[in-house]
Amino acid sequence: MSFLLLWLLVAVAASPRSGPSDVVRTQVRDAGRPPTVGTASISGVVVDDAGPPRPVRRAVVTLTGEGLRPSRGAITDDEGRFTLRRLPAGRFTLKAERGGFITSVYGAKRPGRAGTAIRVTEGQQIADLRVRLWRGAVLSGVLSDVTGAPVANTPVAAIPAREVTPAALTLSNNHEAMTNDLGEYRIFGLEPGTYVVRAGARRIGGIEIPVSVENALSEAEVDATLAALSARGRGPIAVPTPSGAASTAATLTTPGTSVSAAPIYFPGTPVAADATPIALASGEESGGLDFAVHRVGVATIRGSVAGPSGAPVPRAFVQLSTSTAPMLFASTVPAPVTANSGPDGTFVLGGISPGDYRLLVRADVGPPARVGGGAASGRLWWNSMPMSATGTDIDLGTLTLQPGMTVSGRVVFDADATAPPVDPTTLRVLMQAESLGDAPTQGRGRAMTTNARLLQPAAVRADGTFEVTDLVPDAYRLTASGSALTDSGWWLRSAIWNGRDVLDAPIHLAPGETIRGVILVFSDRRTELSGTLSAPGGEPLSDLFVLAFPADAALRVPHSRRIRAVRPDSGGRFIFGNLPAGEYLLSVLNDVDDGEWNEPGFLDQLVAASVKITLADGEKKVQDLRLSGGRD
Amino acid sequence: MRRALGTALGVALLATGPAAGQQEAAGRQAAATGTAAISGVVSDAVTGRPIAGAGVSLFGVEPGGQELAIRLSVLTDTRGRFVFVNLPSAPRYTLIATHPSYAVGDYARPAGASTGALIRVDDQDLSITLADGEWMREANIRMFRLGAIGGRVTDERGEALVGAAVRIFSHRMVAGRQQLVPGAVVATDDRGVYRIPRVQPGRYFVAVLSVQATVPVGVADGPRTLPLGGLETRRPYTPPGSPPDARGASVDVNGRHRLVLTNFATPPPPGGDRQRAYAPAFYPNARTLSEAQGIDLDVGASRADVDFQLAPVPTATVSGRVTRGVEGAANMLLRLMAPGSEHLGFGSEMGTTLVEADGSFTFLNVPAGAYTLVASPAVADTGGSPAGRLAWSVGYGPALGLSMVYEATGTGVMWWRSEAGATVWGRMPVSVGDANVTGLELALQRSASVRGRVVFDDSNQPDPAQRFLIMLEPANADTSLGVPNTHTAAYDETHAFSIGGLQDGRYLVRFQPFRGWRVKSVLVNGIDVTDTGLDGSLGQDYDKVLVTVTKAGAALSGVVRDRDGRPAAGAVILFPVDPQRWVDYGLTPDRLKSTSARSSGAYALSPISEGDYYVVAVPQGQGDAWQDPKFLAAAVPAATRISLTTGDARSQDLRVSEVVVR
Repeated sequence: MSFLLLWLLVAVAASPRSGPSDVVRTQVRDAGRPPTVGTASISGVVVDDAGPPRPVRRAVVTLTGEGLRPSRGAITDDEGRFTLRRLPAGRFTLKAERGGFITSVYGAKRPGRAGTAIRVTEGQQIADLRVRLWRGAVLSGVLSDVTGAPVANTPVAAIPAREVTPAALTLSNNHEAMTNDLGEYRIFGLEPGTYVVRAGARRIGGIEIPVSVENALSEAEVDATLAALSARGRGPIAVPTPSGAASTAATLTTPGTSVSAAPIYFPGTPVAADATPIALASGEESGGLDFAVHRVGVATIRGSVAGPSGAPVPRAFVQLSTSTAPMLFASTVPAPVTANSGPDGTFVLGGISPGDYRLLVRADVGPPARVGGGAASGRLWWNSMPMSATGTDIDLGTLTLQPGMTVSGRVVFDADATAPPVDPTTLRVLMQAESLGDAPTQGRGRAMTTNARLLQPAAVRADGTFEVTDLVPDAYRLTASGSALTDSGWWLRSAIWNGRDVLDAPIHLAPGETIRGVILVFSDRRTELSGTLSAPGGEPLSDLFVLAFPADAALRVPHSRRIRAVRPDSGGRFIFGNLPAGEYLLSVLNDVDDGEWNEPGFLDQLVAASVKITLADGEKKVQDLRLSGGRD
Repeated sequence: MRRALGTALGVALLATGPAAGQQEAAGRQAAATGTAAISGVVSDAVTGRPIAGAGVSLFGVEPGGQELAIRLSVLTDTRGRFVFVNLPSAPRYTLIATHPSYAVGDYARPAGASTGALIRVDDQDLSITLADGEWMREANIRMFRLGAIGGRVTDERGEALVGAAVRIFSHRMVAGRQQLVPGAVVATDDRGVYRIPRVQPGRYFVAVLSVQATVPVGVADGPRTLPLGGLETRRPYTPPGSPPDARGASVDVNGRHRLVLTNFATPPPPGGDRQRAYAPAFYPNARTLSEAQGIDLDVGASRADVDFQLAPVPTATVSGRVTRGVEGAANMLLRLMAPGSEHLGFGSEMGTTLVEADGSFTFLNVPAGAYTLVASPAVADTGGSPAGRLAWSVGYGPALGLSMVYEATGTGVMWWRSEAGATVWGRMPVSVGDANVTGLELALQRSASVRGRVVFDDSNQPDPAQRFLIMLEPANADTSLGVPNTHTAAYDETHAFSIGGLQDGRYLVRFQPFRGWRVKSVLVNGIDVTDTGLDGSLGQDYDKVLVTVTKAGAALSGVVRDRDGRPAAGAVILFPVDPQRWVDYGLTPDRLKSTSARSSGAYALSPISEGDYYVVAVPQGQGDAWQDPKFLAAAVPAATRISLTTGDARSQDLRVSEVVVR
């Protein structure tokens, strides 16, 4: 909250005002089309964050925006100057980047944050723009093992301590460095903020790959095993294990303790919550973050899978994923550990680090599904349970599966015509599971591959009905897709079930529950909320944020489609495109991080200093805002 | 270690290393149990000190089995010791030790002794046979500490060059010929500092790469900046709602072409009479390899003073058009490379560009010098991850849409296939001086293709659900000729295949990935081309090529003894009598084999193709020396001549003798 300054507002009477709409539908990147050329130009200088600011040479500035094809780029000279010529009129974003600095946009008040759009008219010569680049902060140190020897070739990641959204998972890849042969790591170009430092987890394409499991040998264990080998005849020997239980003859067991190179957090803990956060000011270098990594004891989980009749189920897919949500450190979530049950229904999950998990078992017992076709229901059986691992082995006994569940309904079009404007059979309905391990959009590696067949969207039938089958208990977000939607301008306006719109909150599907009668309403009418933000004296303001959020507190849920922040352009004009109809509160903030509004209580404190508006279906509303002069 | 790694996963696969699959192994410990045991010590090969915490993995094959059924991993105790007990008897166990600071060490074979070798031994050599109740006590593993090369890269003002790619190169014997091969690549940090870890002993050349990547305006996609070695920490700003975008920043130069900036030094801004750019530099600030100074690295040694100071040089624009094959050439990637370095992988270009729809092309920012202009339907690179990321830094996503990785004998080969220009290739010399070069005409040749089918000469046919892979390896191992292959061939009942993209070279037919299967013969119209290969330079297609693959062969085994007649560990090398077969055998030689004898002196080699061979036992340090034809010539006097036919199971005891190459 340290950066939050809330502005008190007065609503300026809405004046019916005509003018060109700046809302342009997102365009697919356009190869082959002729470049857009005009007579305007933008020039300026890139400076660093030192006092006094110094020019930054060899920075790359890039201008992007709707209607600018292709984007324009320039390199700054030795005095930090750049010029972009032959520009058409438009509303553009100017970005500057250089190695070791944080890529920033013109008008940003803090490194890496949103900036101010630059409005260019035909033939306008804009000069002397100052674009600020902040030098990135640095974390560095030496990684060693428990004997003090350097640990080479190991990834070390700086994880923003405020990382709460699954989307951040993929970004965290960018804050990673490998230790060199001296155990040294250096992570640079960091935004100011608070970080935890983690060593040891490898990831590929944003997915953490399972760490290897090995048996650590102590001197005593080796001595005992060698002594037993010397003393035996030619028979097997009892393998000493930490649990005291000698291995059975049926299992090939290795002496020692099962350990994995699970992630270790600075200053040397395997528990993310116990990590010491490192606060970094802009450009600060925090060196000497030396710490030792050690291996963590891991457990083996065994069990067997049976169908509703009690018969063993072979080839069931068993998945163990981290359960805690919302997660403080989302990017520490390892890829789910998976296994398939054998012919007798038994399964083994090895190398489980201590922690809380959710175990999910699915078995595809029906005939093969046809791609995109109306799949036969009742082919999926499941079981799900929470569980904790502590480093000792667990036997779960028999897990009995039960049939999958169904959500069904129909689609309607908010149109006068009797015939549907879009062929319903081109539409697909997808239930996206909220839990990280299940969400198909998260790309959870092997889990996704194995489950892809079970997570296919359901096709809508010609009569407009649909049925999503084979669901397991979870919270789901409903989405609709179809090529006809992107081309025609029709969009999913609401999904009504039990008198509420499930697009605004996830559907919680309880075990055994069947949901019927979900009405999906498609509309081709789009709302637009726009206006000009001005100072008490009337001059336009561009360096603030306008935030729109629902007046109904019940709709203020994380990742709501009804919460959005925009920055006015250089003329003070702001635009929200296609907010769902409803009552909204508008607030003006000095600064806000993308997604910061998902934090509990954040929006509630803005209510008192906000302006209430109502947006009707398809309405193009103009609402100017003027600061009252006071600052809360 | 010869196996196909499949397609598409590409770069990622190489990065996973030996740890991959062990997670699964933990869940598969319910394997059969027995009464055999293995114990040993892992130690530093130079100091003799034990290595604590080294990973030791044991891989085993069950009797009669083809698959690895047993995989166990332990970490050595503080005295470097490890022990595996209650093992079933098995014909073959393999031990591998890993440690981040050491080269991978195999039982009975000191890793690192084979410096100067790109191609390593095949997978026959490391076998330990265990009988019921047997305890192998001294499965000791010596490991060689790896070295490092590092330094700092600055510009003409002494400012750090951040995020610049630095790569090492070394000379290796490949297919019997000395070749410069690319090695590890890293990026400089915010201080301009780089450090390349895990370098084996040897002589290295160090280069700051600098590719001038040109993209015509109107091309939507372009080269991308992907982090190298995890050292790149740039986090691009993406406005909310926009797709993830790793495209390199680009700058306008002449209104028609843009310069894309990826993992290389940003040049001074365009403008003025002549554009300037940073040319690639070999240590110490040399433009060419012949002026470069080699860095000699001992076992475990490191150099931190390999510094560069780059200064921009004047450049010219090089433009022209392609003639013939213009239709298929739009968006084809053209590469401008130093003569003699055409085989080096991505990142070693001076410049890259794309052929435009009208057949024209333009390279921006080309420093004066002599170059080869290379247009090829596919590019192969022997560098592992993250070197593959350089392909994105210089290329063009759609133009290099497909890739695959396979492992030739001991080395990863990444193969990038061009969608555009898949049926043509071309090459021409280009000389650049003070002035712009215009009006070049690059005559594209039609690339030959090969069609045929595979015959399995065994009643045990492979699982039809699998896919097979036919690869055409350049006989001279020049990877600039690509490794055309059946990247998408489905295994249907006809076993038919079709491969396009041959260039100006001779290609040998190789077969992967079924364990045990290998090419027995290749017939074209009844003519045997198994060893001579298919000539792509003629531009003519090969139809009805019959590739017979077999599991059968001869087997050779015996005991290696020292001069006093005692069983001894040593390396056994099998090579053809015909010296012409000591060179140009592609990336995976069929008739050259090397193996290590067990500590009991026993060795075994199979399957071996029919033919006349020499077999010789040499000290283990010479185990990989077979790649040098001079070594083979020197080994002949000490070697035993042997003729082998399919089905033979011959026994031949050998005496270790050191081969001296004069």
